Amino acid sequence: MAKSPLSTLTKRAEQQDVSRRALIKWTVAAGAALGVSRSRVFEILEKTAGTGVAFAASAAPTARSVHCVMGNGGLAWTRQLWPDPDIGLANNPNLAYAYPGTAQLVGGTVRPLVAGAATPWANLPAARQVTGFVMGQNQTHTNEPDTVENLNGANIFAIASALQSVSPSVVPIISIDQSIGAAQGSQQPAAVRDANAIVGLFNSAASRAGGLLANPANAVLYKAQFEAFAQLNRAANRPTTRSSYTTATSAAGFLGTNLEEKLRITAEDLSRYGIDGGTRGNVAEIGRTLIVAVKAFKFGLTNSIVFPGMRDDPHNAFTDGSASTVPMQLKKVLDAFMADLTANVDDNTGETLADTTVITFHGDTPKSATDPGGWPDGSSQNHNRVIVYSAGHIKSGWFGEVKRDDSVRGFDGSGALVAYNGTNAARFGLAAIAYAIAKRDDRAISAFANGVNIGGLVNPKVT
Amino acid sequence: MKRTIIIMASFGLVAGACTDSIEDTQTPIDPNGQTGGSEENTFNHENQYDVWEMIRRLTEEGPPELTSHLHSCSKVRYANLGNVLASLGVNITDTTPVSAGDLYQSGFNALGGPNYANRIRENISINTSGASRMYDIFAAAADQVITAVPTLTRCQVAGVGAQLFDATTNACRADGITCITGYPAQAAHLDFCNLAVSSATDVATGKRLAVAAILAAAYTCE
Repeated sequence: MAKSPLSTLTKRAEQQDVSRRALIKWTVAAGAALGVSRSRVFEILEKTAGTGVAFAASAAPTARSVHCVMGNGGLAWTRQLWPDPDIGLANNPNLAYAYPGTAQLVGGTVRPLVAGAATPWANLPAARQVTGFVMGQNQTHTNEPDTVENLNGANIFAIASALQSVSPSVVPIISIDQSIGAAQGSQQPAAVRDANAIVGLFNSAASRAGGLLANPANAVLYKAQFEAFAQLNRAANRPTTRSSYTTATSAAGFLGTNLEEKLRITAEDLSRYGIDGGTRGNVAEIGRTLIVAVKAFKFGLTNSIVFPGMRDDPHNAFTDGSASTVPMQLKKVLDAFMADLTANVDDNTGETLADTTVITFHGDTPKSATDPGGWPDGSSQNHNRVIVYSAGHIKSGWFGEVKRDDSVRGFDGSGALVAYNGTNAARFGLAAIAYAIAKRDDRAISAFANGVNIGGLVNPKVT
Repeated sequence: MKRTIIIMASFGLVAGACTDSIEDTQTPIDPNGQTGGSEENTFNHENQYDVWEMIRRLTEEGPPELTSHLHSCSKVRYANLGNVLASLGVNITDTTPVSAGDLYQSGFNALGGPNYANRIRENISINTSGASRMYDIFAAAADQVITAVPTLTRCQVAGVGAQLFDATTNACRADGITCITGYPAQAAHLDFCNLAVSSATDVATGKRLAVAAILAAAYTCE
């Protein structure tokens, strides 16, 4: 990395040609030694060395991630949210797209992308728009579609947790009725049954009803007592132990905090996500999970959530009219989720959650792209698809294509269209997802990507 | 002013930092008083020390022979925590929900236990998730510890066990605190402990709270 003298630094620092990296390293270390909070250190950095340096210092090294696995045909709904460009633009009611005539090309994306009446996040900048990968195999009627999850034998959700292990959190990865597979260095998931159960993960036993610290007055007393007793430890005031004791004090405070109030899903949340009595149960459950996800991310409680989506095998969507209603409900939920991510910042780093969260949609089958009658499970050339919001780390638009004549093409590492090979395309697509979660750190993903060249799919690291 | 403090502290920290490398006394020192290292390869040590700062640190922290043993504060390893709990009379095999044993067994990941299958060593640094789980265990174990202390053979003197609290006045006792922390209780320990007992919502809760806080502070660092 090139050194860049910072004109506003002290004279001594200028003489030593302190680089941005060194300044960040020393200042954060010194702040820790002095017992200055990270947020205060970043504030000082911002005043002395500029916003860019402060941002670089505070940024989490990896993105958080949200993975929706739409098994048992559930993925087919994404054809209504993010149609294949040629299908969307065909304006043909005989294709398996319920909003003909509404789809328009999104300007400025690297690859073609169309947005129709039910497309979420349509107002995002072009570089932040989703990436679509035509990849993997159709694995109809399974809830664990491994061909769109496994990268060189390791599951992408487990890879995410391994990459994210550099960013401490109370519960590294949460799984709702989904396997996260395995990967070298992955974390063990906390398995829960639904969104409501996520709330309970973060409450200490002591803070629960009947617990020692259930009474807030006792919780305050406990923290004060811990601090007092800790100060009696001879080593507690050593510069080398101070940061550990700062963390420990924070943990003592956390112990008495009942997070249920902060994480609980409120009526206001449900209203914002458009969830009411008319919302399908499986759509509402996605919304409830996403509501809790934002809150947990904001407090730095977890790095990743893997959860099921839809699982309703909607063969009759075009005959019972649900193809016109359910996607609109999903759009509401996902739009509200993105609005929440945009409006909230990570309390630990100060970053906007939308800048540091990767969202993926996987599934067993996208169903037919061209046959709405009975919406058959089969897909031409057995293709599958994955949709990714990468916060700008992956180039936006569709890699690979499904045409109105039902022809399918895949892609290679340069992004070029090639004959469809679901396995090869999945390697490229999943490596790109890992790259996005690692925030463009090639070295971090090398153990998983195993030399896969994805230079044409992703945006390069800015140095 | 704040900027100056931070920058000065940065340089002071670097000057006092250590590396894993062995000092080579024959390493040439450049004319500017800097080592050959730089930020691009290793720490760029400053060789000009403030003698008054050095004296102050030696006075406060003790000689290097001592401080080298207190260089950092790593967390208590998972297995060691189990040994500590067992030695305090806690049943770590208890599977009753939210009992100390249950929290210990289910807290393997939160406590940063090793994952040998994935070639992950035990996490040795203190983080919020691990520390809060350990403190949660101590909070749940407080009752068992209070009950067990009088019968712990390791704390008996001439066959007489220790007590954490006076049976009639509920005052904290030095022999009990010494027993559970492993080092002599100070007057301040007793003061803070008594304050906890008297300030909590009730005496029984105060006793548990005091024991939980004492254990948490005593076993924060391994």
